[in-house]
Amino acid sequence: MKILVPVKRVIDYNVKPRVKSDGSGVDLANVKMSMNPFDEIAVEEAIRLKEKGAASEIVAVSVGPAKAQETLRTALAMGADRAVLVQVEDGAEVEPLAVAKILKAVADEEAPGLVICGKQAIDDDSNQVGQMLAALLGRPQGTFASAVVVEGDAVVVTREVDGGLETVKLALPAVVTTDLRLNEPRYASLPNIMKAKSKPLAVKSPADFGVDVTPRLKTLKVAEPPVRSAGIKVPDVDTLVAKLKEMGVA
Amino acid sequence: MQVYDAPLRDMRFVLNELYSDDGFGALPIHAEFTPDLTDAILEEAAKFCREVLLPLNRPGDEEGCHLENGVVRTPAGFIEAYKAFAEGGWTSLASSPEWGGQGVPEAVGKLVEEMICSANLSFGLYPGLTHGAVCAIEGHASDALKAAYLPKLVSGEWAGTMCLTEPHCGTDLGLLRTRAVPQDDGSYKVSGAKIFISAGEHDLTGNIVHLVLARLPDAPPGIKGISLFLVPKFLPKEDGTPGPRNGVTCAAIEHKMGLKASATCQMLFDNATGWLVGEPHKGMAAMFTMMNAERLSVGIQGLGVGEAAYQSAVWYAKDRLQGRSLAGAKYPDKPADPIIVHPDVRRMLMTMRAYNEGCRALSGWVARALDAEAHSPDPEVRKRASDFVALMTPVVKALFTDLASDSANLAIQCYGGHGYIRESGVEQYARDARITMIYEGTNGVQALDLVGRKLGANMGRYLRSFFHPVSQFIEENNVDGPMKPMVEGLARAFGALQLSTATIAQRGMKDPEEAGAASADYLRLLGLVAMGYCFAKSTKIAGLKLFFGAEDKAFYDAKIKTATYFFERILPQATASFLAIKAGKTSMMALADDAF
Amino acid sequence: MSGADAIRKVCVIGAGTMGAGIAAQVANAGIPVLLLDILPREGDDRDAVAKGAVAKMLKTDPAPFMSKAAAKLVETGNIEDHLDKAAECDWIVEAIVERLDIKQALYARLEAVKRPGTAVSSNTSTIPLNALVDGRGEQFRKDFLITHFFNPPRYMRLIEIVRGTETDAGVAGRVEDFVDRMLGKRVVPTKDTPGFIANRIGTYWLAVAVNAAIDQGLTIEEADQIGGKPMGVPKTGIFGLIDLVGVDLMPLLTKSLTSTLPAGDPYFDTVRPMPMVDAMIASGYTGRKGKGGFYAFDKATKTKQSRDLATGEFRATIKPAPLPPGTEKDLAALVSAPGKVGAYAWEVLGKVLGYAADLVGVVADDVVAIDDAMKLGYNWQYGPFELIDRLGPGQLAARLAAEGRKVPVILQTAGERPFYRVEEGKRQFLGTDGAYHDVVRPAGVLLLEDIKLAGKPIIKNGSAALWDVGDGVVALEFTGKMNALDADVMALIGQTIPLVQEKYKALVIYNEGSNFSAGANLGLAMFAVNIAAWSEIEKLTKGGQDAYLALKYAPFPVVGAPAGLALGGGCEVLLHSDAIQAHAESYIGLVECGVGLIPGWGGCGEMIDRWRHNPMLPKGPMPAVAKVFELISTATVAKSAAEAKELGFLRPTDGVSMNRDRLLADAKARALALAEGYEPPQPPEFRLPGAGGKAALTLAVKGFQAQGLATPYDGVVADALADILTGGEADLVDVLTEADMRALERQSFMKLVRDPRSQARVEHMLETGKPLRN
Repeated sequence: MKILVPVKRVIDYNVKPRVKSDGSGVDLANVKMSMNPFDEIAVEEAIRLKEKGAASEIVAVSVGPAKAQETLRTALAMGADRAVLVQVEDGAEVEPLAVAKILKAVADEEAPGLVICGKQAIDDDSNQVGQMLAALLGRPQGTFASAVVVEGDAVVVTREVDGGLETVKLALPAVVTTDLRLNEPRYASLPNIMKAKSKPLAVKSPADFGVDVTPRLKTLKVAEPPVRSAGIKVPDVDTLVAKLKEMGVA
Repeated sequence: MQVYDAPLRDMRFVLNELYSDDGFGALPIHAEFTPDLTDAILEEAAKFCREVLLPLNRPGDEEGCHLENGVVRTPAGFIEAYKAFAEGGWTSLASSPEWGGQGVPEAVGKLVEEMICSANLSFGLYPGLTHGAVCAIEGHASDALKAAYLPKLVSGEWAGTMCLTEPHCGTDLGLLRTRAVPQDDGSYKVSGAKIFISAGEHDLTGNIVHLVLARLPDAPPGIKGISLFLVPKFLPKEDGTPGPRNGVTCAAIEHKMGLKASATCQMLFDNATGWLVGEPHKGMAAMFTMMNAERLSVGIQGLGVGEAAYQSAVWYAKDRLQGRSLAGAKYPDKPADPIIVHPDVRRMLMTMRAYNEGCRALSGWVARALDAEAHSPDPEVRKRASDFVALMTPVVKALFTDLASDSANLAIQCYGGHGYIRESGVEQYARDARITMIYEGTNGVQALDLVGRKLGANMGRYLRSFFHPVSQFIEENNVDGPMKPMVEGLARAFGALQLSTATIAQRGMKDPEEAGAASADYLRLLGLVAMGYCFAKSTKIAGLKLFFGAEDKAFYDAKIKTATYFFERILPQATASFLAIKAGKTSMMALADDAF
Repeated sequence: MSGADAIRKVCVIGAGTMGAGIAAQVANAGIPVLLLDILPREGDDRDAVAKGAVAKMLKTDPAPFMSKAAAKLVETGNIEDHLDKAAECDWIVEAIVERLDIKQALYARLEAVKRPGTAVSSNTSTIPLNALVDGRGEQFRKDFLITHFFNPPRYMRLIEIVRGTETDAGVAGRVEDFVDRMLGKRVVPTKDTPGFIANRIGTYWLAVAVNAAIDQGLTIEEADQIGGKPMGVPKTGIFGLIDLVGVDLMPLLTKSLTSTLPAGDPYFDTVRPMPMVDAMIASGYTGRKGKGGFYAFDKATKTKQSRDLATGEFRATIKPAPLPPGTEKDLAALVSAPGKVGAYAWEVLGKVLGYAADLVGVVADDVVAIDDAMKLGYNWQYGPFELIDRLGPGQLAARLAAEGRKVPVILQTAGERPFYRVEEGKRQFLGTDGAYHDVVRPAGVLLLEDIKLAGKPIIKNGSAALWDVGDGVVALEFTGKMNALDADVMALIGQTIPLVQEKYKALVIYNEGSNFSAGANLGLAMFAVNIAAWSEIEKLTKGGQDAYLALKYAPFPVVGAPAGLALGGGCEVLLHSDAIQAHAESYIGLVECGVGLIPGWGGCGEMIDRWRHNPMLPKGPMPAVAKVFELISTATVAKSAAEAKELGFLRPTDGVSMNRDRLLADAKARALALAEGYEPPQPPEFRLPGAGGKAALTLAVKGFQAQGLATPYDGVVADALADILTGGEADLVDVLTEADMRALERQSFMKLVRDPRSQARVEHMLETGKPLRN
């Protein structure tokens, strides 16, 4: 079975984002960029499935600028077998639906048994691509997975839902999106980093798949969240209740 | 708080930008390791250091190592971290692919070493010593010993040590007493006591391979009668796996000022089975292969600690709100300004920063020379590179570790009272850094090595590998323009260095004590000039990048500002060193021994 | 009439190695010589034997002739047709086979033709004089003496002279004076005993040393280590020396000495069968001239081999363990060292020094003659009695006595007193009478060594000193290691000039090192190069130029007096002198190009100035420039003073001293002669060929490169040299001053010294002593 893992190049989770002075977006100049952490979990899960013998090949795919090659190399260094970059212009915004369309086209070509993606990207937190992709492909989906078990031609996914855990069994091929607790991604080993250099990485363009990536949404303004004013300490519960009442929240 | 994130941007600058013309020519090994590959290596190493090693640093310091029933227990988490480290292939980073290593250039390997030492110096010692042992075995041991031990050492499955020091002899190894008696089967029985053995015993690996200096029965007295032996903790079985326990035991572990998570052991060898490495009585030569490599590594250790101390100090200087800027409030919305606004805090931060960047640039040059020495197809280049490494080894060792101690102390100072209490974590840097000035030959011994063995040898040939590039740089760049003050400053310091060199060569020939009296100041002077050269070169490159509109403007801008600080506030110390050298030994030696 | 004037033609009979070599040395002195030998066994040319000897000498290295011109002074012939010509000569030297009957027969024929008063001498090394003249008439016996040269006659400075009881003092005196002044030998008066002095003691020494090594189970390397440097023996050591002189000579010497020495001589105790040596000779291992000897070089493995004394087989040379500390410089410590070192050293020294001491009064009148003979004939650094002084005469006597051996009379006489002492600035030796006597130099011999005993230098620093050598003349001595030239030398020259101007008449530049000066201190220069001290190097270059120019234009005469090597800066200082008095064995040249540099202390301009005044060259600026370019670019070194004249390093008017001991006196005399009405030279002006000339010069170099005779970098160096010699940017209409020339020199020098390829050459020379062809 082949597993397709879409990965996104995003601002590193350690970096505190800064809004551009004109409010047009987040300043990405010379900011450390990394693989979206949920996607890392997806890659890790695919590798584990392969290590268990449930998968035979892992293809990482990314939609992004030329530099997204680095992100794909990271996936390759972790253990993916090959990679596809659908390259867009540096700085171009590709909206979730366009990404999902491209991924559908890639999936049509690759015919994976399973697509594992991160549940959302930490830059825009849309949480849409996985779901859209499943719909476009007309395949079952298991989102927010905290456990994934392949059983024959089905996959059992444990989902983290508001009320607790939900387990669903999907017929393959299917789409799974990962949640935080699914696994802990490995560190790429040095030999694998070096091997990754020679693993195949194909570069394509949206036009190759006949997908129009022109944005349909317009960003009006990006602003930092208001600075929270400092809290106050109260000596006991009674005072706290009194205070809350005073502020009109209780 | 201990804060560390590998300075990857500066590392990439040193690796990819600074030495496009290092004079050693293009090396195939550097071409093979393209920037995108080395980026991936450095990033992964940085991640491992930040996420795995750094969190163990302070707990390891608090917990320390424990000796129970002859077994040394490393602090909690070390076993798992070591396992992940070895599995990640980091133990074999710079080792030869012949033995399962990755063959990564030293230019990259030294940067990774720095990160490990920043994150957790105690941890770094375990694989660090193994690497030293690998070098000695690879360079001098028989093919059979290589085949039996190198793959397991390179993979990190086993660890190595260097057993030199004995209770009555450290610097003067000619006095050592450990004996080795030849056996009929070609092995030897080694007996004696060794102290200060880093990683002599621990629970990280399945076997520990000791490289032991000892005397054969027919050995001439003194330093010329010392041989090197390989003595494993467990004797390998036919299939190569650890077999019966050898006569090597850990009698005690030292209670140290710092570096507490590294086990420093007293080792007893009681008729332990061992094998000769290299020729009889030529053990010092074999050991020096290892020692020279280790000396460079100790310099890198210093740099690593210096960087961690700096980052922790920067974090605090931005976090700690106290008083207002002398120029009026800078952060009026806050109850007080962060202390980074104060000139004296700036002085400390800039000094640390300049030390670290200067040392990193210099070590990058030396690392490239190591690569050229090993890989250049041109014998002339190999010789020049080897000269440069020989000259710079004592400088890197002593200068970097001196400065690291300074940095650690400055970091504590930035923290004020909080720096003095353990919870802040910065006092650990001062304690850890302190040993780097001592082991692998004290910094005094390094200075003597520089003036005694390196300065005058072959009519000063070693010096050429450094003096000529500097002289050429000064001549080529001594033109009107923004760099003029810097080049003039470098030229002044270089002139003082030339004059000091000639003076020491002249006086030292007549009176070795004069060379000894000048040695420490001379090492510092040479080190300052070397850092100055690196900064001037960095400034030139940064200036060009800015001129041609590079995107990473902030980095280059900061580089030039740091370099300017170095030239204005640190390099003037060269004059002080020069004056001290000029003064000669008289006042140093005047007071009678009894008057002390 | 002195011998030097009285002997105007010499005849040498016997054209073997010694005879031919003696003839060559006579010719080297500019004296015509007739070389006769027997008729050849075959062929029509009746002079073939002597002719063949001369032809062979022209190919021999080291060369017996000092110049090709000297060879023309040798007239060849044979003793059947030309003995009457011999009779016309003023001195007849016999150097034929060592057989008494043949010698006597020759003397009988000579007696019949020779003029009364014509000296006849034999070069025999073993046959007593009385036996040689047996049967000759009174006149012949008055005219006869033994003149024992050492091999090779040009280079070995010893001559042992035996006067017979009837020898006429005037005849002998003339010969002695001639060999001293004209052939440059130091005469050691010797008694008529077998082996004379040097071979008597030397052969005994070798026999004792070889026997002891065998008996005590030493390797030859160990024996040569102990018996070499610590005892002041040449670095070949004992076995190396036997290889050098020829293994096959050993049995010959033994035979000769055993048949002539008096019974009871300790030498007989050393004689024993030597099957190993016999086998070596039989199989062609006769030493360096053969396939090897005790040492050999194995071409297959490229390793040095040594013979095992027990088995006689070759094995790889083993470097012996270092000698115990202190024993290398202290003979007393050496002989009392524990183990085989002390045992071997004492066996050799105890016997040899005891033997030598016993021979005082037997082979020579005094210890000085014996010491001189061993030093000059066997190249010992110390004579036997100087060695005894280093060991302690009392200690030697005591140990000999303690071992029940005979204590030589002279040692008893000495007691605890040394054989040499310095009293009131004079060297004295202990005579057989128990009193000290001054060591007397022959008339006209002046040595700085003696002057130094008597006083202190006028001024000195670390690299040079200035001595008052009497009569208003001062000597500038180089004193640095290898007499290398450095800033200190230049500084002392600077101090010298006003001093001499004020108080003295003239200056000679002279020293008694084995070499006058091999040039600038390259090690120091290399250090300056290594630390990139370019401005210091330029300063030193300018400083040297200024110092030499100051010598040239000093208001008093300056005479250079070289002996041995005078290379580079050592040559240039001579070029700036008003006159040169050179020892015949002076090897002068500008060799800078060999180390990738050019003469930077004025040598280029001075050489052009010499050659353009050479009447042999065609007119115009180019011939002189081309000649100088050739000499300097190929780093040509003159192999003698005579050749130095041919190459223009010496002027035709410069003097040559054959005897090293007379060089200072000769130079001083020349300086004083110039001092009368002295006026400094006029500064020269140069018209040089410019760019066109340079093209011609570099074309030649390109030709050499095309043939693979010159490396690409040779071309760069030659180009920098051509820049100077052709006047740089100047052309024929420009007049260049001396200052211009020196500026061009500095420019080229600084360019080259900064080139890594020149640096590699200098470094290679310093490390290996050989030029690097890069």
